[in-house]
Amino acid sequence: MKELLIVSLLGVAVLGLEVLRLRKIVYPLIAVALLAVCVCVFIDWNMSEDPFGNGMLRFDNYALAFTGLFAALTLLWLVFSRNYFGSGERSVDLYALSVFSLCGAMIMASYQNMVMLFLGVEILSIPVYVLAASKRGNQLSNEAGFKYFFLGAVASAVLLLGIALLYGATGTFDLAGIQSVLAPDGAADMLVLAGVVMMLVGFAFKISVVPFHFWAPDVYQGAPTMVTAFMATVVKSAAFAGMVRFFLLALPGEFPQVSTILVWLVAITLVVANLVATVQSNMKRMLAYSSVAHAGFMLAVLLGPSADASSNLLYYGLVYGIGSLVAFSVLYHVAIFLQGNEELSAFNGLVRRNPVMAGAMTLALLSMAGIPPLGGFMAKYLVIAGVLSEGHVWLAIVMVLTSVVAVYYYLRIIMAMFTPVENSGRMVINRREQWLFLILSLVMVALFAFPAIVRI
Amino acid sequence: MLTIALLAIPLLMSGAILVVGAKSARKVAMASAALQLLLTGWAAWLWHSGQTGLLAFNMPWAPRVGLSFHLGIDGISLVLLLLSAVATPLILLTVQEQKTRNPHIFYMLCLLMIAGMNGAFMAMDGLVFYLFYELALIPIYFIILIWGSGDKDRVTLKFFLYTLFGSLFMLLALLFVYLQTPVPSFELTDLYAAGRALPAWQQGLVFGGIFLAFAVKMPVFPFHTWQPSTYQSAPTAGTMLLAALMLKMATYGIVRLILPMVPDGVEAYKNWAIGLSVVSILYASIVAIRQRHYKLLVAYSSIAHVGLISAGLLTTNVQAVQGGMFEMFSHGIIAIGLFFMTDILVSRAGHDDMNQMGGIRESNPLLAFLFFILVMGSVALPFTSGFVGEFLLLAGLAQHHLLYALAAGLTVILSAVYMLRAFQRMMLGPANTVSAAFTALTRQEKIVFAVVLTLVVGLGLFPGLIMTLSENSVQLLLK
Repeated sequence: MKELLIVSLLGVAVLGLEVLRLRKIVYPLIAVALLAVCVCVFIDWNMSEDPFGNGMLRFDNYALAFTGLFAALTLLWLVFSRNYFGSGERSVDLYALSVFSLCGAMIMASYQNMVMLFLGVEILSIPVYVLAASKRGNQLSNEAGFKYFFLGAVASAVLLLGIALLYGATGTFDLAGIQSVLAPDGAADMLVLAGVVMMLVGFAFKISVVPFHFWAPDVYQGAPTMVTAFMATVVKSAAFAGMVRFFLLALPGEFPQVSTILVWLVAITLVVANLVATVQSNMKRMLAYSSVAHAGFMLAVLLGPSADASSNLLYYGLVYGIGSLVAFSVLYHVAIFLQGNEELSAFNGLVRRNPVMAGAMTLALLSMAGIPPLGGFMAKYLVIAGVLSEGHVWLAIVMVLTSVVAVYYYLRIIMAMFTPVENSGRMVINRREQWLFLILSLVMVALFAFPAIVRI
Repeated sequence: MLTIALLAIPLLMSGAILVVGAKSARKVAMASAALQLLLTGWAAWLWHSGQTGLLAFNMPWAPRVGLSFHLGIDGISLVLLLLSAVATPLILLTVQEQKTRNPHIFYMLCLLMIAGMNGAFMAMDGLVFYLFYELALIPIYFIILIWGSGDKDRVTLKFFLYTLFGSLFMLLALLFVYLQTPVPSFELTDLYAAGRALPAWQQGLVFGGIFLAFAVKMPVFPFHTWQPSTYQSAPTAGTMLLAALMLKMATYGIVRLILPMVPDGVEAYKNWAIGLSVVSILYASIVAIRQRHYKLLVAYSSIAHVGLISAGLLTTNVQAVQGGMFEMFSHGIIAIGLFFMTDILVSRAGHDDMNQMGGIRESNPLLAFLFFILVMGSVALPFTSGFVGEFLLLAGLAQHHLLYALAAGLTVILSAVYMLRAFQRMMLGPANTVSAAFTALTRQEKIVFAVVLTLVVGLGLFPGLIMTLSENSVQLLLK
């Protein structure tokens, strides 16, 4: 519970500091507070706190683990986006918005009552709508914000409808209460099924799996690059954390109808997203489709053994979060260097311009492609092994084949980075980021070598 | 502990190269190779004298998914490790530093690749094998991408995707067998037991999945299309790494994974795989005859030789498998020699177009002589190492089915055709402007040839040196 309190107070404090004209200490304050959250996660680990607020929130190990993940990713993200935020008048608004969004993410990992789920979704999303439109003079950014808001609102409405239907069928908002009412073998009447499917659709919008992904490429492209990075890492993992928590805690262990839907969602997502990604030339759109493809993999944790689902999701979220954070940050710098060029060709000759960034980017892309010895391999492997052990053989084959397709578009970026260009010039970034790129590269290898440490 | 050292030395040294930079990179790389040779020799001696305590290493890795970091050395591993230990210094010697940009990165990637392959040769855990098998792919991809020539973007892309595509099917097949183990475990012995318990058609599926991966890597017709262009694009040291070592992971994998794990599947479906291999031999030999460029000729001849290894191994006949082990070593050494010739041709004539050459014997008789011995090894003349391996492989094939042996036996005749023709076109005939450029061999070139030819002739005379190492292990695995 401490963690959520810290972050909520932090958001208010950040706004207060602006009033007190102490803008300078905002960034250090956030950094310290997020580190404190990470420490609290370790302190509270295995304490299994009692539910808070009449069973609204419960900080069990699942919630703590994802809280730690969100806080760590936000912290890393802040280091990379400090340059984007700048130190002007708007910077404090942006900091505050991201902290509030983090608040929502933490609620989504810890809710015990579906009312809190809905609140969490909204608290998570609304600041991000604003962030997406934060490049006020830019038409694309405004379009992205508007589109994201509009479709996000529809998704929330559908989710809410699902919650209401489920409430009608079971008479409770409480996750454990719902599970105790539903039959353990997954035999459910139409009302329950309709509710669950509605909720699934609402979540599918948020995590952007095919066919509910259409907003993703446009929003990812239009939003400022560092905001896109936030959406692809923290927001996405949070949506998944909320979804998987609902599936694990509220639904019976066996739910054949829903599994069938999930299998198809995963398969369609992997095929469509990976194929479409191969023909993208705009890097942000390509990474958007790659993000959709990864959502397919993350969704597949629900098809493996349920005992491993949360660990696998956490590991995947961490590995993918680091990979895409690196990718978007490099893209951000490259685009600045080339006056806003975000095409694939912008990466030409990056290895000469800045070897550290090119190296980190190469590892991040190989990790996302699932090549050993990087975390991405282990993440995909754990998911595929889980899917196979539950007998979804053809789905595993689809996952493997589409992984090869994915390697194609990741390799295109790597090849571009190693393509020589004339008069490349050096790209200078500040030391802190340079070091962070190096450290994250090592972390990607370390996560491969020690997969067992990420475990709920 | 010895196993860990064989893995750690190239890894640590590649890190050290990054630290010391371009100037002393070669020395560090050679030191790594020397240490590796020393340790492998020690391992061979330990194995020979029956002290196997140092030759195993086991540590739990991700127990939740039955993964343990288990390395071990037996006779079969040892043959390949020896090949790697001998090939590494030779390949490093052939790197032409003046012509290589950022040579330290080049050495680093070479050592990383060696580490990956040593790991694959020592893996006693199915997934660990797969990981190292994949790991070796990344350094060579970058070696070709950065230092390659020609249309390297397209070539490397095809190479990477093709081999990855194949190996993912191996991963699926291994996972499938893993899910049958009573206690989740990727331990090879557990996988063997689980695989053997499967019904024959399921064993056949597993066989197919794993063989697909290896068929791409070796390569076997019709999965070979990536190979000639990749070999041609790669810098010579990269081609040597590919031909001498990397494809041996596939042939080694047949012995280590396929034969003991799914014997019934192999029994039921081996004719398909052997048939493909034999077709591969004939196809590659005929295409090789038509080549103008020396490097492509050697690339196709490599497909032919490897096809014979694959066909022989799959007969599951002890004699043929032993021959296959020997031929893996021999082919690796000869491939280094043959591809080294490319370097010599290109460095002196500027190209490897055999039609424009001739009369090199006039200007450089030593080179002609050395190349002749090499050619003899390649066409499997008795008293060269090529003969021993191919003879045993063909004898094993003949026991399986005479027709296959006859078809595969054509490889010997056809290889004589294209190798001798190559010799004739390049070395004989009147001297011309091109051949005049063939100045005396440098010391470094002489050393490489001396080592290669000593091994080719020495092992032809004393094949027992390699055979006795692998004998017991092969019999154990085939039981």
